[in-house]
Amino acid sequence: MDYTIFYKTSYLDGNVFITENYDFFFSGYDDCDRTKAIFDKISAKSKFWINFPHYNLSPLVTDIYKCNSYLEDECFIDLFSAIAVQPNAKICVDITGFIRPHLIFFINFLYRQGIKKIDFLYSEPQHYKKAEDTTFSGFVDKARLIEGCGSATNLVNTDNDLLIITAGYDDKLISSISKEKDKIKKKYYIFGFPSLQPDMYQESILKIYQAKESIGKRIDKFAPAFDPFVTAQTIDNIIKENPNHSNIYLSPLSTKPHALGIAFYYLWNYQTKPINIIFPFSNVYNPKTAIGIKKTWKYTFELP
Amino acid sequence: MINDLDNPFSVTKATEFSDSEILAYWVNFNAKENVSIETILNPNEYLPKYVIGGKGCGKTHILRYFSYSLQKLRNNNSVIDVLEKYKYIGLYSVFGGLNSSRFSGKNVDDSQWQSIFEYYFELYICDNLLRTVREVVISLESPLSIEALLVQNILSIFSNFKEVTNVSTFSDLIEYFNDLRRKIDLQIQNAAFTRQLDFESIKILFSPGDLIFGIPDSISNNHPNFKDVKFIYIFDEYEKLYEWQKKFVNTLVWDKKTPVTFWIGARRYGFTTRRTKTGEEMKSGSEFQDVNLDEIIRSNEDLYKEFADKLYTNRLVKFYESRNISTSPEEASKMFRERFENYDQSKIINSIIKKNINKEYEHLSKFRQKLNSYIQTYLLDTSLNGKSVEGLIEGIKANTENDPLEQKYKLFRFYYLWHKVDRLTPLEDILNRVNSEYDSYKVSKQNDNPFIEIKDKRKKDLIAQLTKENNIKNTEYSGIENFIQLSQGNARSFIIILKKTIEYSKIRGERPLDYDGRISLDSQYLAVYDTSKWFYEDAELTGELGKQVYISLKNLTDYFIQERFCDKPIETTVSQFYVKAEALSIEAYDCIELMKMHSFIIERDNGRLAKTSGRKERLFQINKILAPLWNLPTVIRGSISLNDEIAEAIFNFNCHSSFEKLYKKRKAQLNAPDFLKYSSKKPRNTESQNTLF
Repeated sequence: MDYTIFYKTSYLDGNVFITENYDFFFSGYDDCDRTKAIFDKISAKSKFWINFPHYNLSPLVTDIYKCNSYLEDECFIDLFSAIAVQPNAKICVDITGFIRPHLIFFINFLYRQGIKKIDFLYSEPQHYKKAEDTTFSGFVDKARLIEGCGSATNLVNTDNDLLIITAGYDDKLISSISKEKDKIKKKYYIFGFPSLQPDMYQESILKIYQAKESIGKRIDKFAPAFDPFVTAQTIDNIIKENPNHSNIYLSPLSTKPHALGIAFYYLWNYQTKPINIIFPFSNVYNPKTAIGIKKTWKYTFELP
Repeated sequence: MINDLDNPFSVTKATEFSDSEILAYWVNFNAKENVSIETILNPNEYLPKYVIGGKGCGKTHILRYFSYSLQKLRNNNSVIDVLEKYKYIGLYSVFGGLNSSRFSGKNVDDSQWQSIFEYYFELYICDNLLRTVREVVISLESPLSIEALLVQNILSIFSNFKEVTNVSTFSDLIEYFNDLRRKIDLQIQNAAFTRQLDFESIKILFSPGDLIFGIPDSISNNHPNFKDVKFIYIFDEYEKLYEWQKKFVNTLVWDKKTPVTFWIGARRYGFTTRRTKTGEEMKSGSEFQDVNLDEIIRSNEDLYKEFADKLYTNRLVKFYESRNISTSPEEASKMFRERFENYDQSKIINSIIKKNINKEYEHLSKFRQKLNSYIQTYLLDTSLNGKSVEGLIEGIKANTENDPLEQKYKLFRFYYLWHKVDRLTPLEDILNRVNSEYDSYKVSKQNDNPFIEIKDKRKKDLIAQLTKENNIKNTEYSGIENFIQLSQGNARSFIIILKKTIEYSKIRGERPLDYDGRISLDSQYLAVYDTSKWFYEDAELTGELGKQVYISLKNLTDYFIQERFCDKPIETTVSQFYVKAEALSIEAYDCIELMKMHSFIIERDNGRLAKTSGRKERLFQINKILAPLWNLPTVIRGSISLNDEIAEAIFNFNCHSSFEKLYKKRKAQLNAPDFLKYSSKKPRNTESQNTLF
């Protein structure tokens, strides 16, 4: 299967032109201009801001859904109890302000509800407030599988397990996952190249050097930081390079489009391959890290 | 894999070794004597072992060495030799693969998770057992009738065995186990969405322990080649389990039945409970044996040195062999050692002189600042003015031939006397005494001259101060012997230093592995510093507690840094501290224990009783591998006592806010001119005293 053929398009400077009137539109509230601007431009019968407790924000907006749990599987229970999502519902999700593991669980949940097609939006910022010193998350609480994203077949012989990390520039997260799965011999790192900002790729490389001893031997791969479909294709290529693989662990530690790529690959393959998604969880995330909108991407997922 | 690499020390984790490399790079610890790893683990006995050790202590390498696949390699793949010679089979499993965190949450009751986990655990662990037995049965060409009998006996353990069809071989049995496990995997995955487990589709078919003990028992009783053969379940990564999961494993250990025993590998911080499911506390010595690798290795420094020597020499020999260069271990070691540039303090001193050729030394500028601050703040020595300040500085420089270290010796003596003598003593008098002692030391070096002792005991600290003030690398942490000492019993730290040494040396074009190559002090320093940083950052500390421990470590090291980089150090080369840990709050006590478990600090067995209270004071040392990160000493010499107040401020996260104040107070006590406030020598007349305070 060629994952790169799926539809994507982009809009410059926040000039999003989407005529579709969705049934549901969801966006993570992070108090950034880039998410607020998009929220207003999308037409939908029901629109929800999702307020994650990790950001510790008290938004003064309407249409807000407050998550009452830090856990990804508990976070949306009340939301999905309140709204009836039908399999043919037209759904759009702005992933920009979402927390990565929660985003992956959210998509998985919608898929389990029978949703086969979802539009995703992601806005690249003009720049990050603290450039390469931007930290997105706090101290790691625990590295574990994302709920509902474990393998349906956990293989006992772990000799040929694969760890595939999409690597951003938070070396502490990379180090945490590498240590959690330090018995895995083959570790792949997919870097965002081309990156969202000109120097982000170089920064990622420098940052991963800091986690070098925790990682051990690594194999580097590349996928554009904005492209979930090429990310999925890159994962597929890695797995094809290792036909004798045992368990596969994917970890989304870079951009949200990369996280989307991991979710996409998982949903297309979890029933036939021993895939797991693992993440270093933290209860603290920094909101308002970005300024402005450079480009907004729209990705259309079509699921099996 | 290692032979493909251009650095013999590239592989720093046993995980990255293949089975044959585990064997090739195996170095026994004191193979001839009774502290050999093989003797300690003693596969001949049934006593279970908990093999405890910090990261990089060699635990995985050891556990894998005793696994069945390595047993075969050690005997030219002869299965019959494995059974007859060793009389045990090592069944190595890694707990990380269980993904034990799956067995929790999702709105499912804890007791349900417990029964599902216990059931899953046995199916999971016995997969390796069945595969191993299948291989043995095939290798020994055992009659099919025996295999069928064994399979039927094992199936009879299951409550539904009458319903199970088409399972007559070990391969069928393995597939049957897989099917049962798959059902659980699927249920766990679905539970995140359905918020429940479907027990109808899972069905628990045997009781805890039935498989893990029942299968070996059946094989032992029914297959002649397995008679008297032990089954040792070797589990690695015990720390990856939840507390209640550990208790289940402990219960299996406690309930063990012949022919089964257990060896369980755990990180020190992960061996958190000795309790079984029923709450019984297992007794070390009678019900299991603690094998604390860190303690065994650290308590045998000479043996560790020998071990470390063999470790790196072995890698070098294999490296050269892979390049068709034949060399003996002795020759490889000698040549390698000779390439290391030796530490030489004069190189540091010359660098400082060169760096300051057109400017004043930092220690002299600081001296001036302190004198001016003294004039402004204390106004006691009315004879002191700008001109005489310069005179004092010139006095320190006198007869030192511009050698910064010699000036540091004199400054050390000056600050000592300044703090000690009566406050009305003119500073010129102090300087005259310093110069008189110094001049006499230069001429005759008589034993009672204070500079003899200063040079003997303070040199390392003062060189450290100079390197810090001048931003020059302190290359005292150099040479193989120092690397071994720094690693403090941790083989991975040692190998990482060597790995990085080779990397840095290569970048500098020094060709460290060629016969005419060299390894500069610069490369050695950077390697040590990087390893130190890795050790600091790599600790598996998570959550709020982890953050607090890092703050405590920062407080502790700040305190130590201050003791070394001050005008009037009390102790020489301070690297240890005494603390009445048992008198502290639970939070502080737990923090100390956690720092110990993560090897940030190492407890030394020679604590002492406090003079006044008679209470036990425990003695800890900051792990030597961390020392280069803050330019701290590695030699075990000086120690400080942390009173309850400062100990709480350092280790109790509820008291962290008071640390800054105590730190500042200590800083003032150790540095001129504020140390005068804490000097026991009071001014002679009350008028002056009033002026001062």
